[in-house]
Amino acid sequence: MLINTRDFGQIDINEDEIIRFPEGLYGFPHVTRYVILRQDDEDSPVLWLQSVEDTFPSFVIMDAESIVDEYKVSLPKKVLETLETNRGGKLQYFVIAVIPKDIKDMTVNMKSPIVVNFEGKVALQVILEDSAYQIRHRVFEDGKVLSC
Amino acid sequence: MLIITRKPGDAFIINENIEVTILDVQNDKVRVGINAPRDVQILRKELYETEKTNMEAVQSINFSKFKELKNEIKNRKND
Repeated sequence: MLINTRDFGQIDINEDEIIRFPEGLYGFPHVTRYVILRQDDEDSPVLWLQSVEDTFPSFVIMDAESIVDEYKVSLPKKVLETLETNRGGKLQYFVIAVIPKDIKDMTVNMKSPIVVNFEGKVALQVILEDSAYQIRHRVFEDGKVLSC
Repeated sequence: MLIITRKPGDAFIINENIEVTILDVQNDKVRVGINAPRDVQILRKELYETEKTNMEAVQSINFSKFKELKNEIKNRKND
């Protein structure tokens, strides 16, 4: 299936790779189908979340576990139901990056991860109400090396 | 910042048309009731901030920054 993207031009994706976002993302409630593009190096924690329906929107996302050693998340029952975890499938957590001109000032939203059930091909952006994670978590602190 | 101490059942008024009532306090949670005109949008701050950062995220990225970030992380990993 061919889709048009702003940053990769026209690309061919497998329909099996499409992930449903039944509630969209915050600020983009009507965009409900995305693909995660890895692009060459398979093991990079940096990924690209691309809308399938249009060239817009797209996001740079990172594997949350690459930013903190142990990403502690407890999800409400309603969220687990939407993510169809009763049918199995391990959940993976990704965080959305804001990248200003100087990449060293970039932040990720650790408080509102995108939770993906790859097996069920369904995902949700969840605001972790009871967590101390920051909405603007700096990835590169001075002198501190990323723990990935 | 204006700081007001209130007890459950007490309220305060903003701009003559918004009434905020403290309903109850339990452990580290406070329940608040708000009466406001329909056109006043009320959002949990983290929801508002998440929407805002999502918008910013979309506008802040492009292919070259994606590449740059991948390289930056690869280099740090190899250090």
